[in-house]
Amino acid sequence: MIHSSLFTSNSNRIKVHLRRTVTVAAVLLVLLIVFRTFDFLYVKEDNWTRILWHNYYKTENIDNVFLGSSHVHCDIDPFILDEMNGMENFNMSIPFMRLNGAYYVLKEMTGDHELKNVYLELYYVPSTGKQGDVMSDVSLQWNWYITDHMRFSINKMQFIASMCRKDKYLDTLFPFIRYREHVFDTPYIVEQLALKTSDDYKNYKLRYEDENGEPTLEYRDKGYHYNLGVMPEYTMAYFREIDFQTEGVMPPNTEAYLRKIIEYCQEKNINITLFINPIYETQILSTIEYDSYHQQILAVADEYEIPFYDFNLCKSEYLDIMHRENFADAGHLNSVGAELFTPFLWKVVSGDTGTNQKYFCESYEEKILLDDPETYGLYYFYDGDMRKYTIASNRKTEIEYKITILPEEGEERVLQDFSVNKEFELHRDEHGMLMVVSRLKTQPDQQHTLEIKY
Amino acid sequence: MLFNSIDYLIFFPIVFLVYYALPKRVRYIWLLIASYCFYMRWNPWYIMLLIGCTVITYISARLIERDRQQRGKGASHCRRTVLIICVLVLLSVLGYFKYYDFFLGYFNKMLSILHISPIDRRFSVLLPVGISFYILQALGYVFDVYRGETYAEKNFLRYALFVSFFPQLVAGPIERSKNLLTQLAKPVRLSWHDFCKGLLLIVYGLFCKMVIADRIAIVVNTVYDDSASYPGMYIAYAAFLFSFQIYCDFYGYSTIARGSSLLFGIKLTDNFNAPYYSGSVKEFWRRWHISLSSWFRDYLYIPLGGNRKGEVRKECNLLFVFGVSGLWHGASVSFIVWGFLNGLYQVIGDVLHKLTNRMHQISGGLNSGYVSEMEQGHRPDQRGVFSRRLLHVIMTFILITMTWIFFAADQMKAALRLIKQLFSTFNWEIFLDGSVYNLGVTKEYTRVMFLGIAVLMAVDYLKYKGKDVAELVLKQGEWFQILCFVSLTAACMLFGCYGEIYDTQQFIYFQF
Repeated sequence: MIHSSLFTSNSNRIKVHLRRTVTVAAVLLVLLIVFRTFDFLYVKEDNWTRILWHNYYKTENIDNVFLGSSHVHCDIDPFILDEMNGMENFNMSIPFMRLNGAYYVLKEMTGDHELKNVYLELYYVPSTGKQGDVMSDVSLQWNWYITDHMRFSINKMQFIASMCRKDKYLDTLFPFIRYREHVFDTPYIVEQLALKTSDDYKNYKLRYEDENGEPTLEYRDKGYHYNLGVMPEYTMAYFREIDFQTEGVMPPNTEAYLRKIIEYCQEKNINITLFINPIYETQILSTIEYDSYHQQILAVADEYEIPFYDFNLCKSEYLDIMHRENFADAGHLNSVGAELFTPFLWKVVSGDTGTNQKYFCESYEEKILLDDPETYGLYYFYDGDMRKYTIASNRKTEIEYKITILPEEGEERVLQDFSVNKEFELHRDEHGMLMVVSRLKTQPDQQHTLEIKY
Repeated sequence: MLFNSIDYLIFFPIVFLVYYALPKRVRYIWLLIASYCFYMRWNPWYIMLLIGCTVITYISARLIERDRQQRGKGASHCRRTVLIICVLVLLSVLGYFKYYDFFLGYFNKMLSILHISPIDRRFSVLLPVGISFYILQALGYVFDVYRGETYAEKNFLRYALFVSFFPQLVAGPIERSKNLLTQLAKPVRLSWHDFCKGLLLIVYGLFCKMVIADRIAIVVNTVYDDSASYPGMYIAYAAFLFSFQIYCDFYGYSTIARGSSLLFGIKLTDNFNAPYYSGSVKEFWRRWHISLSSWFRDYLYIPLGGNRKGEVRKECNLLFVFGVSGLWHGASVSFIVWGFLNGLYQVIGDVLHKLTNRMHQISGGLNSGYVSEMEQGHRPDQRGVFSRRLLHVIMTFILITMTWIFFAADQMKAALRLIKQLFSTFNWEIFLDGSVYNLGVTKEYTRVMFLGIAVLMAVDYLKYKGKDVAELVLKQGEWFQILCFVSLTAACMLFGCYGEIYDTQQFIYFQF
């Protein structure tokens, strides 16, 4: 039994101290091994994020980073950018990444690379309303996509300390704690083991192929999500984020992080550009108050004298992308769309701010009126037992709609004959197909039909 | 701030590191600041109560000692007056905060019988956490100074730390000045051995609390909150488990307190000594909540005459002390009944003990009676055989478990309802058909729970045999120590009740 003081540094006792140090280190090491084992058995990982982080840590000399949510990894092809600018481009995009997450990811990247340009994408959903509150539980869950994979560093610890309440520290530091309900769930554990011992998992591979062996969806290096999927017409009903409408601006704590990112870049002499990728009109129309969000970011950008480009306000004559074939779903471009969008994106962000103005409208309101009249789909929200639908089109009164429903059970019925009314409701338990036939009042013979699943 | 909370996990290492970074002579001041911060996490205003209690007892003790120095050791009217005032003030404070609502309720009932309008309850008094503990500790100090058994501390801050030392502030152990104050006055260097032992005690305490007690709480709450739906063996099962819940809860707290304290080089009293290996209720109370039992013995039972004034008086004293102990635990009739019941068990035990001894003398036989041995609490290697001892232990456990029903129930009515429900049916099949797994704890977690109880009982058996298990572990090789520490930590993290999916239970004794 050793009774000497713990805190005495006596050279004669160096061996004793060494032994104690080894003991403490051994305890920590064994605990680490045990916790990693629990993580391996219980944590259900997001494969995309895991591969992205792995890929990031082995990538050297990144010059340009495109930082943002999944819209970045779907919409921007860094290989095209490499060819265009001769630099090393990387999509550091994590699903629904919040701005606090973006801030600490950026700090992580500046520690590893000499970044020249930062392009911060500001998709509205993770930045507005309740979703946008960086301290909310929802935000925390998405931020775990970062903390679960980011390497240990002071930056990471600062992120953890800032992103959650004290009672969430353990869940954040030790991911297996979040999955404790599966402690005795053998099928779940077996599933995790099967997944984590598979070759694709071990080789950080994410690839789906068609019958000819051609990739339809694949993780490609540099954080690029290759995806050939096309938004099916029958799925063009978009669930509206209702809190955007009521709180359609960034909460103060989110805007604070936007400012912190900008100030950090300016402090480090890194060029920063703010931008918003194009999303399908159905979704953007569902926001109703989109322009208020745009104006908020514009005000911040103007304050710091940095460029801001909202590609949802881009005139179709310069970027004719708003077609279903270019989208994988209502929010994300597919690779066809990315191929179309990426060169234009680079042309804009690398161009002169003044010249760029001609590409963009002042507001979304203005932009849709420039486009030809069109019906894009539907958006809806739940109100009690009812699902309330609105037809997403770029005209208020010029288009008439005939709405017919083909329920799974029962007979076809016409909800509305040609009328300018855009709104109707259905019971939330009722399912089938909706047929929306639209026509211009002035050209009743030219009709356009949409078939949408409901 | 709960010991099993993230706040404590942050608070404690900070206090620990700063403590050893500071010069020795000011460390106690840091501990005092930390203790006050710890206490203020509940209700910042109640710190005034703690300070008030500290000031009163400090001045009282100083006055008593000064009087002794001036007038000598003989009896003094002045000393006695100071003591009485001090006791009255502190008991009034305790009475007001703890028993105001209770007595007012009964007083109003009496008034209503007499058709007098009741006194309006304009406000409800919030019980300051730990008040019962620190008042007893401070009173014990004044009594000791009065009796000349200890000195009156001159350093007010050091004395304030004695009253408020955070590891034992809210739920004991109720320390004597001879133990704690002297250690605070002469801080020792932290040895590697104490460091390891302290950490081991903390994780073991957390294991008892988080893995065993809080898991059991789910079952007990399910059954006790809806006893109409869970009659017979469900109640028996819950009562059995509650015996371990309260033990693991309180023992867990005390062990964490001891471990935390040891990391500051301060050794606290061990509040438990394998209580469920007791062969009699009397022995149980020598092993359970030792610091409280000894406090009541030294400052209430003995001054009342103890066993020096005849058998009848002795038994009356016993009943009275246990009644007071019940009332100390909570302002409810069920606690008083719980206390009396424990006292009554001992009175009956004493009577039976004498009867069997007399019968033994008459018959001249070699075998002592059941109760006699039970009361003596002899170990099987000393007297009797193992099986007899086991029977005594089981009988004692059953008797104690019955009393816990009164303890667990908030109200007397609820306790009686539980007892009625207990004997309403004999549905033993619930243990075979898996019904017990529908009480909020799955089959797998039930196994973990019982495995935890097995570990606890194994550790306690060694303790019962006079071995300090933490010392035993520390005598083994480093790898064994690491294995114990890591296993307990991992068990807490994987099987412990904490976080969002569980309603973390407050320590039961915090309410007292």
